[in-house]
Amino acid sequence: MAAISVELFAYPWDILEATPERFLDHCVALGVTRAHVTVSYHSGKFLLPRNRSVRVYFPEPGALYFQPDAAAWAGGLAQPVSRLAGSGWLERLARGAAERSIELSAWAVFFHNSALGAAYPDLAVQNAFGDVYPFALCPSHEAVRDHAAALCRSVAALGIFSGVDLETIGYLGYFHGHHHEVTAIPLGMAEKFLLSLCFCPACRAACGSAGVDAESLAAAVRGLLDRRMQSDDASGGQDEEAEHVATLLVACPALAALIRLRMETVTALVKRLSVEAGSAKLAAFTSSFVGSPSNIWMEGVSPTDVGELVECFHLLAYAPDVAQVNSELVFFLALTSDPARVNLTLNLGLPLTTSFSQAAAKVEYALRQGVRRFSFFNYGFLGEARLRWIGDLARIARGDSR
Amino acid sequence: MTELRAGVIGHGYTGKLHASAWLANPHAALTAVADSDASRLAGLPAGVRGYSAYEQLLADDLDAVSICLPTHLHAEATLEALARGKHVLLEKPIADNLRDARRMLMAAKAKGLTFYVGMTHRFYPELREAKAQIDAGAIGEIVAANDCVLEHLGFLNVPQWYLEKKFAGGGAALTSGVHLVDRLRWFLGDDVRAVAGRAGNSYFGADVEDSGQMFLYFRSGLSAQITFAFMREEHPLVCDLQVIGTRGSLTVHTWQSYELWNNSGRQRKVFYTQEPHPAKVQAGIAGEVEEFRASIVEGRTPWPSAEESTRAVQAILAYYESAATGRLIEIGDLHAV
Repeated sequence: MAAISVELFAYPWDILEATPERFLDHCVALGVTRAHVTVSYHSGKFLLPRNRSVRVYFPEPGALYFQPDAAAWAGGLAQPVSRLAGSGWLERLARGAAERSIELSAWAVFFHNSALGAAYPDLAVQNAFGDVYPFALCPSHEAVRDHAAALCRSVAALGIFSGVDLETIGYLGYFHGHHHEVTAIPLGMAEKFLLSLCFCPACRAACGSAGVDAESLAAAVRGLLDRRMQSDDASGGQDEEAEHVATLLVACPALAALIRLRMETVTALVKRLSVEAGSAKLAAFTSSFVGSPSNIWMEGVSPTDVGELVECFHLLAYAPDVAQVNSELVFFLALTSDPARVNLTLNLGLPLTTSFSQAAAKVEYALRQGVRRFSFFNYGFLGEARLRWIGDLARIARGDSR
Repeated sequence: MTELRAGVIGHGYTGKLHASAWLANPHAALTAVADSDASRLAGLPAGVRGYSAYEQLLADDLDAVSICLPTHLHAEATLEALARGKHVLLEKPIADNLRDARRMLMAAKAKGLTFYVGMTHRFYPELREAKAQIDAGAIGEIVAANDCVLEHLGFLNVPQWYLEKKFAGGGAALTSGVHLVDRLRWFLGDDVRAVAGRAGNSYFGADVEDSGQMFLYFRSGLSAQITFAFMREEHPLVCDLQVIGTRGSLTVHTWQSYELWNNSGRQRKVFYTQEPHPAKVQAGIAGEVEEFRASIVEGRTPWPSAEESTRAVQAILAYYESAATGRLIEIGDLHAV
């Protein structure tokens, strides 16, 4: 039986606050054997309960947290480099991790990047109405895929990481939230899905090459959306309307073909990244925005095809309800076949996790399904008491007596 | 001497900050580091030699050393370094007893070497600027002062030796409170005449105090109160100095900002944005390293002098005596036997 892996996600600003050495000591104390640390990240507003310096932190939008080698970065877009990159945090972390036998994964956000979206609007996702989503780059563009390759290659060139985590490697769409969101029309899963489809010039060109009539499809999508937007139907817009998405795919072969095309693009990209990553193993994320983890295909990521290319999927088991998480896990395992390829990722913060027993029940169920990797989100977001839970959950996962 | 060659003894949390400060100083070169824990010597920058014993480092061709060892080793290492002709920058507190402090002060004087005890708070911009405001008369004449430090020493922030008398020599008062006594002496421009206080160990039950209060009587007739706690449960780091004057008050939220209230209204100045805490401390250590270096090169006494830093410890020791006896303790001459 494979050894149990207990893993922790952490940000550079939290690691620097603790100091890299203390962060790693905390990992050891909690039984953590792999740390996933941010190397490329999006903007945000984060509440940091234990931080002595800052309680509300605003990461630099879309920044890299290391200084990439110029040669390795060839083909990459002009992504900003964080001021934290020059602090030596990564070098100290690498040294300390080696001394403590802790594996490191480079947690990289790829296409969700407002800084790059603003700088390169022509490379961003565009919906069927032609509206640009400036927080998301579209992987149908060759330049965007080249950028992903440069990022992956540059991370591998650091020689620090045994894993690279691919976050937002597909088509991020309307599902993703934004600042000061306002809508007076209740949108359901089907409408959000349709608003998430990209019809940028690169996507249209790809459709053309594949024999998909993008113009007609976009018009049909606009028609469906307009009907909803003009319906004044207060009863609509339930996220439970997932079956409407399935109906659309069956009723509209062009839509199904577009979805297949998106997944092929992402799968081919992941294959390319697996070469760029060298000896580092790839991991992919499910999405917390599209409902069930299995719905990651809505962002263009095929659980089955990508699942065969990566070492594991970080299955974001964020639903509070234990039964729901267990059900999603079983369905995802049915798609990917191998429980060794699933890393059950729990967010131990409130309100997603209300009690230790809730988290423990999810871990215990996953263990029975054969899952051997467990990761926890996130070092900086959790208070001390919940951080300690990781140690207790690690003992449960490993079958150690308390 | 154009470039000072420096070494660091003790390469733990604080020693690493010293090493970084020496590396970043354009007028100095870090050439050696010593630590008995070999794992702390891994990955030293090119050109920096690593030694497992500080005696080996002191045999090296160095001008000066930072000593960043637990308090119980301060005197032994400092006297050895001075005997080897090295200028010494010693991490606070100088010692947990006046006998050792005097031995170090006298040895440095006898050797004609610079001996400096790092007091980082003197180099934090928020404190320096607040002091300048007071000196400029922003709050009038000083009437009284309060200072406090509330520090979480739970699972995440425990240097274990902090809470063991045989290593630290004392508890929260000697480890953290010494900064507050030093900065009150600085802000009030005065020496402490007498101390009264109470100590507790209700958080950790260790053999040193983890909380307490002290009341300082200054020679000028002013007084100040200090409250400190090493808290077990999660708590934000609070380190607030409040100086009350005849025309207003000024409160320094260390590592954050200061607030000035006077007849012009409220003025608040924020000094940091989102820097991690170690980076802020690093700035203070960089300041004291530069002061140490410059004082050696310029042949002057560093600021504050080691005697001044010792007087802060003297007040802490008087506090311990007061806490043990329940009496007000008058502070004698530093050099009296």
